[in-house]
Amino acid sequence: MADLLITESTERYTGYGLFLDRCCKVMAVLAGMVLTLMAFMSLWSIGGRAVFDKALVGDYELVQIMTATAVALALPYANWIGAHVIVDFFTAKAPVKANAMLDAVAYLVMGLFSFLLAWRLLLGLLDLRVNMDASMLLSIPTWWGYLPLIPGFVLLGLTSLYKLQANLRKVAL
Amino acid sequence: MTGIEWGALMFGALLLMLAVRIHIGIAMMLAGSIGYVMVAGVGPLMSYFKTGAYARFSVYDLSVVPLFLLMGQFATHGGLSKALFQAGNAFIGHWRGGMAMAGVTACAGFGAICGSSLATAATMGQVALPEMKAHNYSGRFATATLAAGGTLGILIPPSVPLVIYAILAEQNIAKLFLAAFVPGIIAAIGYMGVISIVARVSPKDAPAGQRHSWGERLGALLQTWPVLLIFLVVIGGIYGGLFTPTEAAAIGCVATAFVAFRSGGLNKKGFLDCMYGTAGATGMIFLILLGADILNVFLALTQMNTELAKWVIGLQLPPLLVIFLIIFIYLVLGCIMDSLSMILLTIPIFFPIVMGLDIGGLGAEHKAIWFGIIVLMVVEIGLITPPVGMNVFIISSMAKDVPMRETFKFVMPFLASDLMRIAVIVFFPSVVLFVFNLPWG
Repeated sequence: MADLLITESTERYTGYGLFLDRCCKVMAVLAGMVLTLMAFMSLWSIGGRAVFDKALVGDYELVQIMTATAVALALPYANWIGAHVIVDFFTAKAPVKANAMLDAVAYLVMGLFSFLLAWRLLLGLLDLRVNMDASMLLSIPTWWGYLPLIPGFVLLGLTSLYKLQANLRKVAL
Repeated sequence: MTGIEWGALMFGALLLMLAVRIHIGIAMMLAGSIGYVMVAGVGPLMSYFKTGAYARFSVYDLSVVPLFLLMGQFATHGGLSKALFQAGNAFIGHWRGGMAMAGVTACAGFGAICGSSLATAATMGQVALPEMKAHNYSGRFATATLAAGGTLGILIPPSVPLVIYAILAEQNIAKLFLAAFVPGIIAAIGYMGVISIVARVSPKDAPAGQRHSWGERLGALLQTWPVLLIFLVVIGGIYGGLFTPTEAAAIGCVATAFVAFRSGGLNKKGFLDCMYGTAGATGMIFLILLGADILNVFLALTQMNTELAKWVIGLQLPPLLVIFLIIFIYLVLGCIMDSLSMILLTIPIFFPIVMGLDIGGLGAEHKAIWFGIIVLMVVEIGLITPPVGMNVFIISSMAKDVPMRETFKFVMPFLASDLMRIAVIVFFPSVVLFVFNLPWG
């Protein structure tokens, strides 16, 4: 689905939770602004093509990098507001504690994957830096595109761990 | 074990993981990773992880998805839904059930600049629910109409699920959008027919409103010009080959942002709403895309999809029977899953099967387009069927006085119209494909 029921994080957090809340929100707004910027950039490129018969050089490359950046910045926020989709059909009638236990496991797996990906992407970034891999027209080093992915996945991991803990607390109650 | 056996096993494991509340994207990732390790080893998986996420997130064709989401966000803050509803109401509000029909036409109009159903239902709900209540429409009929009308958001292009289908099936997005247009209009007309019948059977649910003068009508219609202009530029531009879908969506974003800004909807809170809404949906979609990518890399390695397709085609079943079986599977899945996950999970499996069928001698491209439209319509039904009809949920959250059960009951006639339309399109592919045979098509 391209849709969310809840789009805003309105819960009140304290301490570590508040820190994560702020980080997720800042990154989410940045994600939206990168996309907005990308829209204006494309418009500029189209305008240039139509009026001066000269498109923005490397607009494809910029779109690719900006999309990846926006996505990376958006991932933690989506997790924070509980937007990542689950199937709750089979467990809708299960006791709250049982579901909290299952959710704890789910967030554990998500956390592990996030950190695994962050670690592997960092290695990938270092490889690309050594190889001096770069985009075709603008010679943008490819590893630049990887940079936002790492904080994105790290924060996705941290938010997962926070949610893991919150669910464990629910089980213990 | 052979690759195919691993493929089948991990697919089963995936379904099990979904049942116990693992996030869909992560479950796909886990099943795909384990399978990949079993078939190819740890090394290849680890090196895939070094580049896989960036490769997936930086696909040019996918960049249209977050842009359409952003465009939808700006559109909901631009007051356009109100203009559309009032224009529809000025023209047909005095018919029996006319205000509900105006709601449907407004949903269709809004769907033309918004690629998501929930956003369409939500924004129309805010505008139309209070009006319908004030004009003595029953709550349950009003909620059901808008929940069903909201599905026009993805049926009428632009449509995010259709973009995903286009990428999975390697089809031309422009042609799919064009093909979706007529079925979208048919859907709107079908819904209006349903309203008309309900209004006659049970007039107390859907009374007639007041008549408007032609001056009022034209005035109201003029207010909707941004919608028409944006739609023509975005969809016309894509189809005319003037710009790529991404560029068209970029224009749409800037235009809707401008409209929202002018109407005062982009104050600090409105702007942040747009950013949060876009980020939430973008993150959600791309996590599933990433998981599906890993799963599909593994499945391709096992060749399970092609073998399964060969096997099904080898059964020599009547092609339409296979199509109806697939539709049935979607309807069942739609009760428990969201549309995008469903498409990502099933298209790699179903698509090769369908391409191997002989559907009245359709060519490969036309068959792919026809099937894409069917899939789009079938998964959209999941938005209004119990137990997890998201459109019904969101409308119900706005009309707390209407029990959700009542809404689901009144959604049924709309559902019947959906099923009839799907049957027509299955039996008569030309309803979708005739646009390509037009002299200028």
